[in-house]
Amino acid sequence: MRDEGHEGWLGGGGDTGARVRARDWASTSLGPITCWPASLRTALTLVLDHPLPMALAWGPELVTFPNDACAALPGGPGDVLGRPFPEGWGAARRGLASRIAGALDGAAARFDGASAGLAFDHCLSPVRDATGAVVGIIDTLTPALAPERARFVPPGAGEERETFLLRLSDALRPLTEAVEVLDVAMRLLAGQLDVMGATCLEIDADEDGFALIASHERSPARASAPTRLSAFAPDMAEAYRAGSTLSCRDTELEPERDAYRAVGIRAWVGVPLVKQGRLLAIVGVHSREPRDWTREEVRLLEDVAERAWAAVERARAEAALAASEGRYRSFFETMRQGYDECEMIRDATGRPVDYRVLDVNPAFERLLGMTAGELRGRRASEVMPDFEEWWPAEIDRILATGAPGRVGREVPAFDRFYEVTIYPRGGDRFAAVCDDITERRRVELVRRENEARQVFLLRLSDALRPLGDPGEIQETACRIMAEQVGAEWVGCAEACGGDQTIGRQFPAAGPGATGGWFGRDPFRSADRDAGDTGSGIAPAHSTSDGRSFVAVPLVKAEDLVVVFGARRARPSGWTPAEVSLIEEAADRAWAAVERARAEVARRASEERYRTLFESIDQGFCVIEVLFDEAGAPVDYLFLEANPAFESKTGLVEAEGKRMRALAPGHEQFWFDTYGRVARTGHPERFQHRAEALGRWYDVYALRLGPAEENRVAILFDDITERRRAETALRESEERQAFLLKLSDTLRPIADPVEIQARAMRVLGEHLGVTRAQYYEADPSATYLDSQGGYADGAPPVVGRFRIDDFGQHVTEAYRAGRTLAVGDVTAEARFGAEELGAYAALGIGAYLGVPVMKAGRLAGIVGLHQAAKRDWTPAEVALVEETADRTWAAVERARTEAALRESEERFRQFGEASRDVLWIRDAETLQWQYLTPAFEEIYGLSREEALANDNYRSWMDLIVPEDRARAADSVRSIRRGAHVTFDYRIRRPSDRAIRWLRNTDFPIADASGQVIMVGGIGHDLTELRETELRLQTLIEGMPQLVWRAVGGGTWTWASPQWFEYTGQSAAESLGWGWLEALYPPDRETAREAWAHALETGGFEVEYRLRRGEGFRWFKTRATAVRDGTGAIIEWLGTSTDIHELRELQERQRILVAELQHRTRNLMAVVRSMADRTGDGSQDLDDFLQRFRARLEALARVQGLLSRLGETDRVAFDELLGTEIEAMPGAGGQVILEGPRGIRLRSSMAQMLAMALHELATNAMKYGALSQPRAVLAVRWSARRSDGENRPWLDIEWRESGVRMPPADRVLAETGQGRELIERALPYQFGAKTTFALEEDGVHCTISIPVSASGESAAGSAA
Amino acid sequence: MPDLLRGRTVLVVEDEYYLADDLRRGLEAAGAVVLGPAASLADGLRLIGDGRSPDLAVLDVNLRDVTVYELAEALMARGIPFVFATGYDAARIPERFEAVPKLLKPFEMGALTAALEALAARG
Repeated sequence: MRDEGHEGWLGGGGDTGARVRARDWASTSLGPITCWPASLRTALTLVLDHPLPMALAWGPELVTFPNDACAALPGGPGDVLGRPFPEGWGAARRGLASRIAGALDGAAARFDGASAGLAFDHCLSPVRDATGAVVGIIDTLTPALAPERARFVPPGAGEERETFLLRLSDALRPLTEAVEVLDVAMRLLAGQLDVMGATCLEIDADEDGFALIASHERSPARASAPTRLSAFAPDMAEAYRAGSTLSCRDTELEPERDAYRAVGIRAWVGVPLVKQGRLLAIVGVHSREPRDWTREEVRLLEDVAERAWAAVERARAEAALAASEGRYRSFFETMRQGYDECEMIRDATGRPVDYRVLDVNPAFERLLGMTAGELRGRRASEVMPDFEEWWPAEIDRILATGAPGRVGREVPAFDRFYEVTIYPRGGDRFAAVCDDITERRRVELVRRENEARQVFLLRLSDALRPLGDPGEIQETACRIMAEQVGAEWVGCAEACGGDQTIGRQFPAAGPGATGGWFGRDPFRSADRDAGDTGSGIAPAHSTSDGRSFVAVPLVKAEDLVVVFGARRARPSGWTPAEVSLIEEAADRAWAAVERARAEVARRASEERYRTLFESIDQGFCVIEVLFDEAGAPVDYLFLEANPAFESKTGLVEAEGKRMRALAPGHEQFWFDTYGRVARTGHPERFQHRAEALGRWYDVYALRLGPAEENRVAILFDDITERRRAETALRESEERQAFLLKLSDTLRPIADPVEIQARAMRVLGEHLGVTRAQYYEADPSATYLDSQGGYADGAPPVVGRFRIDDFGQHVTEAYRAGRTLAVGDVTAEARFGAEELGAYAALGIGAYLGVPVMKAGRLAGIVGLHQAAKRDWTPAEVALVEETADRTWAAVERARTEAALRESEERFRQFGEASRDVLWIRDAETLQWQYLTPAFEEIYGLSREEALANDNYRSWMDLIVPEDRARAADSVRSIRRGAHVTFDYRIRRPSDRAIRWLRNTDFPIADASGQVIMVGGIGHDLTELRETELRLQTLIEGMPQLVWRAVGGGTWTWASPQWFEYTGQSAAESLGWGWLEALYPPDRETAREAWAHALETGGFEVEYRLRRGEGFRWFKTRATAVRDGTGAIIEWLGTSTDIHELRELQERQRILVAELQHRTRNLMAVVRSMADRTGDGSQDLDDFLQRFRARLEALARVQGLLSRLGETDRVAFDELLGTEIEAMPGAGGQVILEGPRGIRLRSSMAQMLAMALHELATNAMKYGALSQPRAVLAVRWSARRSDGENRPWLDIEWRESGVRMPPADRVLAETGQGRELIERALPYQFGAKTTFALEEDGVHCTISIPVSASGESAAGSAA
Repeated sequence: MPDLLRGRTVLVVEDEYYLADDLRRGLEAAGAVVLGPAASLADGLRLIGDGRSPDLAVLDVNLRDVTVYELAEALMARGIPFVFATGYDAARIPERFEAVPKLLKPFEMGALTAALEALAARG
């Protein structure tokens, strides 16, 4: 199928071309022909049109396109079109195939067909596409030269030399590879000379080492060969280097025969190739058998060597050239410059008018936008759009020179600029290389511009640099800028602070210098534009008089710093370049200003620093460190030193001098350090001793200035003293650290012995002694007990020792509290042989004994032993002393704690067991911290509940409201340090019962006396209280007055009854006040009783207590209350109201007395009566009758008298009535008239009764009572007589109507009665009586005084 | 001893009539001269106040309203021995009269004369 269209490019190409056109390539790897790339087309047309037999192999499959010449070759490949190369190439195939890789790599390769017995040589060259990649191969066939010679002719021995050489030459000529050359050469040589092997060694550059680069071996088995001439045969090497040929007929004759045997060589020839004085190679042949080498053979070898080497060189050159050619070819393809081959076209006169394009490279194609095909053969004037007529002339000029030359002018074309270089090719032919220099030109322009700018800026810099005054800088800068941009005015305004005020303005030189900013606010105008890019460009303002203006702000860190303005007297705007220039200039100028300002400030600061430098107390100096050639610091030079420097170092006038000169012994450390600081620039701070100066310094060193100057500033302090103090401090700190460790070790230990052991261990290990022993002294400081100790490498010393056994001086020292430090026992003069022996036996070379003194006596000793000599340092001694003290303290503490723990345990048990609750509160928060179990019993609350939350508040809640204030007050006063006992009631939660509690609380203070806790004992008083209450109730209830007293009668307490009865108050009754209540006459009685109280142990006394106006009798009993020892604590007494009792008793006494009296009296009366009756009776019967009657009368009155309730009184009317009633059978009338109730005392009643009896008896016998018509009238009355206290009882007994018996009988009868009435009554009672016998009866009157109302002998009625 | 009382004056103070009379008769029977009897202290004091001093006296301790001690002291002051006669306990008689013989009523006449004779014998 014929591809229509675009194959116009493949116009020719002969038959092959036609066949190519005719073929359908679409299904091949090349794709449709219309899509073939330019490089393929180019290469193909080239090949197809070429007269030489050529073939193009294209693409990955290397599709073959043989041209007509190739296809027609006899012995050629035949029809290979479209087949993969080198398929179908017959015998040449292998050789071709092997070279393809190289060609694809870009290296042209030659294939000597002759050597393969072929008629043609092949030259393979790579074809590149526009990118430079190899996309195909062109195989150029050339007939193999001397065909007959091209056939491989086995070497015939004895062939003529020249013939051979010619053959050799021919064989070598086409070869391109050096290796191939040598291979062939060696082969031919070997064949020609009929030797076992021919070799070529290339010699290294050192003319010693060599490498086998080609060899031909008939029997190739060979051992490894040496690689150094000198090793193989040193003298041979020399000869070779000189260019001498060497040979050997029989190696067995040589000293190195063993070596030759090893490689199987028996005879050899070696020909050196020396070019330009250097041994390059050795060509040699060798044989297995001994051989006499002929001179011809040797010469032949030499020739071959030469030629072979020449061929090698040529091949190498050609290869290089081929490579180069390849490079150039690809260069052609790929160069970016446009390249075209052209031919000059002249007119009839020979004047150059045009030129024709013969060939172009892809770059040129791109340049013109036309393909090479389109361009080839065309005239430049036709195709070059910007063709200018001067071009041909110019090119001709260069052609005339015959040498490449550049077109004088840039050639503008297509809006770009080109530099064209013309390369004459001979005649009118030339090549032109067009370089697009548009960019370069622009860059150049910019560069030029920049250069101009740089020049300006440089000028500006130069002008500003020497200036120191900021104002001057600004002015100068503005002036120069104005000059540069042709401004009539350039000024700047500085933004000062936050508000932007116009700063200084600097008018430029020139006319128009006035006007300044033209009333504009520079900042406003600058600001407005600054918002866009930061480098605002103000639009050119045209003023009314045609001036253009620009303001350029400088912004640093988003702050407007300064605005530069420029004004030009022409209306045209400011170009960006100009504005940029101003910007740059402004920037630099301002930087210079700021630098100047900084300089000024710095100078001022420097001044300050200088002052500081001069006056600071620290040493300060600046040095230059000096290095040796190796770069090591060796010395330093003092550049500056402040005054303090001298005093601190002792170096005077150091400036300008070197340290080593001033202090030769100065340590290298200093130089190294300063050198390092100078080198690295890192400041260093350190402390170091300067031996040469005898001091310690604290140094701060830093580099000054740039590194090259090696300047170091040093600030330093003399710390010698401080160091000494620090050493002491460190020692002390070490000691403290040790002691701390000791303390930490000992603290948790409770056992005193273990404490000693551990303390000694810590000490012993720390000091590295042989033994460290703790001895405890007994209270009398006689014995030392060692229980705990440390021993390392020696047996420990344990047991009890007598202090005195240690030796007198030792004992003395220890008892006095002096430490003994013996560094070497053998050196002690005072130790005798015995002592030394003892020390040696115990393995003691040195010892340190530190006594522990407490309250002036030895409490213990810490002893350290060292087997060897040892200098005990003061620090060590101090350490041991402190350790000894602390160990002792720890032991004491442990013991105390043990005791305390024991005591605590006891206390705890006590607390737990006590029925009273013991508690402890925190004084601050008042919260309970400790409660014994008894709490639960007493409070009826579990301890957990009690302790929860704010337990003070909960305790308060338990207390009944009335007692809370008291409880709280008490607690408060305890907190202030008082011991308080107070009672209060709680409502027990468990049963809501009220319980009385007594708290005995006390403060617990710490060592400083601050009350930290409050402790207390709580006792449940409820039972006691109830008992007391009952007692109280009892006491208050009982009628007795109860009191308590101490001593000899001072009352301490009286019961309420006392107060109530006596009306005394409590205060009045206490002490001796109670006496006041006594009826005054009885006070003495009471006092008396008390006075004897102690003897008697108690007393009973009756006295009267006052009561109102009167008193009452009380019986007081007092008993002593004794304690366990029998001593009287107090007196307890009761006073009982015995008043009634006493009265009763009195009454009883009186009664008894009366009774007694009466009874006695009665008996007397009865006797007397009996006597009288006896006197008056005639006989016994008479007596009996009379006596009995009288006795009965007596009994009657007694009966009346002894009635209950009427103890000794009886009323007259009763008396009379009874007597009258007693008369048996009383007839007659009886009239009894008179008041009732007139009382009569017993004795009076008795006698009166007897008198009445007599009267009545008489009346019965013969009187009114015996006669019915008679009347007895008894009338009586009470009468108060004037002037007398007592009333009188007047009694009248009148019998009337009585027939009287004879008078003598009456007299006899009435004798007894008459005596009674007439004598006894008046006698006994003072009565006045009359008795008369009237005619009609007895008439008797009795007037008798009676007592007022019957009193007893004493007392007033209540 | 009999007859020690003969011719001696004996003051008798006794408020009880019959007993006073008995005493008179008894003493007169013994040969004494009785001064009185007085029934009251006042009478008794009057009897010895008139310059008369009996040799002996018998005093009843409890007279009508008062005790006889004033008279007794008067007699003691004069050194006239006497005896008490009482119907009450002897213990009720004050201590100052401890040495005075006391006769408890009722007593035998013989006892009285004996006591008086004893006094007279001492006298």
